[in-house]
Amino acid sequence: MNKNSGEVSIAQSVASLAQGECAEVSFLGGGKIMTQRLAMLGIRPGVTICVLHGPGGRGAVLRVGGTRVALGRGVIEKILVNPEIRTRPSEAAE
Amino acid sequence: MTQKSRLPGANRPEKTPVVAVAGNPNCGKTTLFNLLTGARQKVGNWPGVTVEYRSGVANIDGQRMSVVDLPGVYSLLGGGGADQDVARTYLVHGDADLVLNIVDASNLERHLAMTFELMQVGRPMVMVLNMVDEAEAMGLLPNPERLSEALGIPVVPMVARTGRGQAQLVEAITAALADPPVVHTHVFEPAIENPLRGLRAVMPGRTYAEKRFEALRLVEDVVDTETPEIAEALKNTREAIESLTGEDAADAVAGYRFGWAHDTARKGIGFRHKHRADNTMTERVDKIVLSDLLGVPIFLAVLYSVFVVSFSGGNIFLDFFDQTSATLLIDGVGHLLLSLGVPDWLTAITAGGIGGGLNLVFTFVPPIGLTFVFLALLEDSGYMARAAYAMDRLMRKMGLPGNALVPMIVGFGCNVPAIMGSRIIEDPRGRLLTVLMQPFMSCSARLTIYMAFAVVFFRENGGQVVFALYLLGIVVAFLTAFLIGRTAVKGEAMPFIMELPPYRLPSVRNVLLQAWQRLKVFLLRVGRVIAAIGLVLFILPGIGWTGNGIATTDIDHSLLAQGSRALAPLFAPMGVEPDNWPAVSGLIAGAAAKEIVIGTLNGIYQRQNSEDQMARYRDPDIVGQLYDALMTIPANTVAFLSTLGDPLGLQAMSSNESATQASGASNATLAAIAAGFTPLSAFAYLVFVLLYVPCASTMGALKREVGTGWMLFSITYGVGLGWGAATVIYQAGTFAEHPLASAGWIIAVLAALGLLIVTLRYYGNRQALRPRQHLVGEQP
Repeated sequence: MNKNSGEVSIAQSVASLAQGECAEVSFLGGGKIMTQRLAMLGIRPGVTICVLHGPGGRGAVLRVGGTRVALGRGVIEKILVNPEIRTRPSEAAE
Repeated sequence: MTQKSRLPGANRPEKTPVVAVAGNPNCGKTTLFNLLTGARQKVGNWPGVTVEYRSGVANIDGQRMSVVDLPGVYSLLGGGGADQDVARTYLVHGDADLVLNIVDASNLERHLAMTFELMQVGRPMVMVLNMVDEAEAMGLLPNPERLSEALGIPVVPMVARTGRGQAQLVEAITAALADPPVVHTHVFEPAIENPLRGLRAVMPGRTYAEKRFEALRLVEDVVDTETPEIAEALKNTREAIESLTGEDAADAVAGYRFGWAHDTARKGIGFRHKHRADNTMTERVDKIVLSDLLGVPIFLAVLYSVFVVSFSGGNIFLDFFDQTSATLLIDGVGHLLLSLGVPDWLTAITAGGIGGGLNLVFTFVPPIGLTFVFLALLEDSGYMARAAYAMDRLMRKMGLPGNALVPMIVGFGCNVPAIMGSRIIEDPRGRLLTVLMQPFMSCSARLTIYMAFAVVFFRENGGQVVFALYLLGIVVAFLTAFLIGRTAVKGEAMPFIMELPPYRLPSVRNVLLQAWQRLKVFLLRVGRVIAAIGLVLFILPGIGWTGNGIATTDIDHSLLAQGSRALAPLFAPMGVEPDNWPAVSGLIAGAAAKEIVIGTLNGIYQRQNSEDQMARYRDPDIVGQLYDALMTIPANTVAFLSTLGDPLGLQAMSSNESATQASGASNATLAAIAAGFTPLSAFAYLVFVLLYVPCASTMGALKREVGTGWMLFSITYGVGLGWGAATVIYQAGTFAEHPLASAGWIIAVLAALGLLIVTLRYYGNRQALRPRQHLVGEQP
C-alpha cells in the first residue's frame, strides 16, 4: 500500500499500513469506551504494533506485545500511527 | 450487588477458606480452576446479572477450600461491562481469603497491568506465572524469583494445561493460607498519590480499597460523578496531578500503571534471543481461516459439521435415552408406586405426568449435550474468536455482532442450547438481540409437525414447503433483531475488538467439564419447568368440568377439549375451523414442547385408553424394554451413516411411508388432519407452529438469560407474530371468497405491527433517557 510514503509526516491510520509492517501508535481516535478497550489489550500511544493479517474490509489482526488482537474496520481507521517510526517486522520484534 | 450478604458464598456455614482465581481472558484461568477443583463445581449466575458464576471445592493437603472463578477481565477499572463490575465488587467486598492472580508468561507486561490493580485491593495474593512453556518456546526466560522479589508476593511458575507446577502451587496456597503474605497496596509516585488522597477522603464506600478504586475510576475518566462535592474534589485532584506531572491526569495515572507493568515485566522475564519466532502454526492457519475469500465459507462449513454431528449423531442415542428413561421413570416408577400401595390416580399423575415430563427432558440429552461439547471444543481451540472476526462485517450490517451466527445455527437443532450459547457474545445489547432471535429458528422438534402435514397436503413439494418454513424462520429472526435493535434497544454493535488466542489442542478435561456444566443447568433448571408443564398436560385431557364440578372424564369432555373449543374461534382467521378443536389442543401442547404436538393429536384421535397404562405399571417388562432401548443404538448408527448428507432429514420427504414414520403420526391422525384442514390452512397452521412460543424449555432458558420481562415479551411477540403471519397468509389465499373480511384482517394485522413498532420505539426512547442501562435481565 503506502510502503514508500515514509517521508510524509502526516499521521496515518493502521488501515494504511501493509501486511507485515510495524509502526508506533501515536493517537487513538474514537470514543472513550473504544479507547479503554484498546488500552486494556495493550494498544495505546507509544506502543509498537505489527499487522499480521489484513488490513482489509474486515479490519486487521495486529500483534501487540505477545498477543494477537483482531480489530474491525471501523476501529483500525481510528488508530493513528507515526509513519516516521514505521519499521519492518524483523526490526520490531521487541 | 454491593451488599456483602448477597454475594455468593457469603453465608457459608463453616469457615472454609475462599480462594479467588483472577486474571485476563485466555490466560488459562479456567484450566487452573478445573485443575484445582476437578468436577466438584457449581455453576450459576452472579446475583442480578447474567455473568456466569463458577465455584468449586478443592481439597488441598487435606484442607477443604472453596475456589471462586472470577470472570476473565483485562482490567478492574472500566471498559469491561458487567463482568468487570462483578470481579471488582467481589474482590473489594467478597470473602476471598486469598487471590490467585494468574498471568500469561508469554505476555507478562499486559497481564501485570491488572496485577497492579489487584494489589490495590490489598488482599493476600499468590501469582501463578502460567504458560512458561510457551514463553520459553518464544525465546523468553521467565524468572519467577526476581518477579516475586519485585512484587513482594509468592510467584509459582506453571503450565496449567499439563499440570506442571501443581505441587508447587499447592505448597504456595497452603503456606499463604496458614500465614497470609502482606500485600502492600501499591502506591503511585507522590505526584499522583498525594493529590489522590484528597479525592479518596470524600468518596463514599466502606473500605479503604473501595474508596481508592472509585477515586481512581473517576480520575481515569471511566465513570462520572453527579455529587457536587466529589466533582469539586475531582477537579482539584486532576489539576494538582496535571500541574505536578505536566500530563493529563487520566494519562498520568494510566501511564504510571503501564510503566510499572513494563518495568516489572523486564525484571520477571529475560530474553534468550532477541528475535522470537512467531507462533507459525497459528499464523499459517489464520492466513486461511481469516482470509477474505474463505473466512465465511469455512465458518459455515464448521458450523454445518457441528450441526450434523450433534443432531444426526445425537439421534443415535436419542431413542436409547428416550426409551430407557421412559422405562425407568414412567413404567418403573409406576410399578414401584403401585406395589407400594399408592392409589391409582396418584400413580398415574406421578409416573405419567412428572415421569413423562422428565422423560421428555432426558430424550434431548444426546443432541443438546453434543452441541455443548462441540461449542466448548470450538471455544477451547481458539477458533470461536476467529469465527466472530470472520463473520463480523456481514452480521454488523444487521446490527449484530459476528458471533451471533453461532447460536443461530445451533438453534436449528434446538433453541435451548442456542439461547444458552448466546453467552459467547460479550456485548449485552448484541446478546439480548441474539437471544430474542432464537425462538424463530426452526428446531428439529418442529420438523415432526411439518412432516405429518407435508405427507397429507404437500406430497409432491413437501421438501420445498419445509425449506420455505426454515427460510421464513431465518428471515423473521433477522427482522426481529433489526426491529428491536432500531427501536427498543437502540445502539450500534460494539466496535470489534477481540484478542485472538493462539490455536491450542483443546483440553479434554476443559471441554467435558464445560459441556457438563451447561447440560446440568439444562437438566436442573429447564427440566423443572418441563416436568411441571408435563404434569399439567397430563391432567388436562383426563379431567373436565361437569355438572358436579371437576371430575375425571374422557378426553372429549376434558378440560383440554373444553379449553380448546373455547379458544378455537381465536384461530378462525388463520383457517382453523371451530370444530377442529384437536388442532388447537395440539397448539396448547406445543407450547410445552413441539415434540408432543403429534403425540397429543395421536392421543386425541385414537382415544388412547388410560387403562393400558395402568396395566403396564402392574406388569412392566423393564429388562426387555431396556434391552430394546440398547438395541436402538446400533440400528440408529446404521441410519445415521446413511443420512450423513441430510441433517434436516428432508430425504424422508421423498416417500410417504418414510415421511409418516419420521413424523410419528398414526394413520388415523393423518386422516383426521386431512379432514380438518385445506392445504392453505395447513400451511398457515405450520407458519403459526413455526413462529409462536417454541416450548417450555425455551421459555425457561429465556427467563434465565434475559429475565422475566424479556421472556414475556418474547412469548407475546412470538404468538402475536405467528398469529398475524398465519392470518395474513390464510386471508390473502382466500381473498377472492370474502374480499372485505380478508382486507379487514390484513389491515388489522398491519396496524398491530405498526402499533408494536411505535411502542418499542417509545420504550427505547424512555430507556435512552435513563443514565445507566443494563439491558440484560431488565424488564421491558
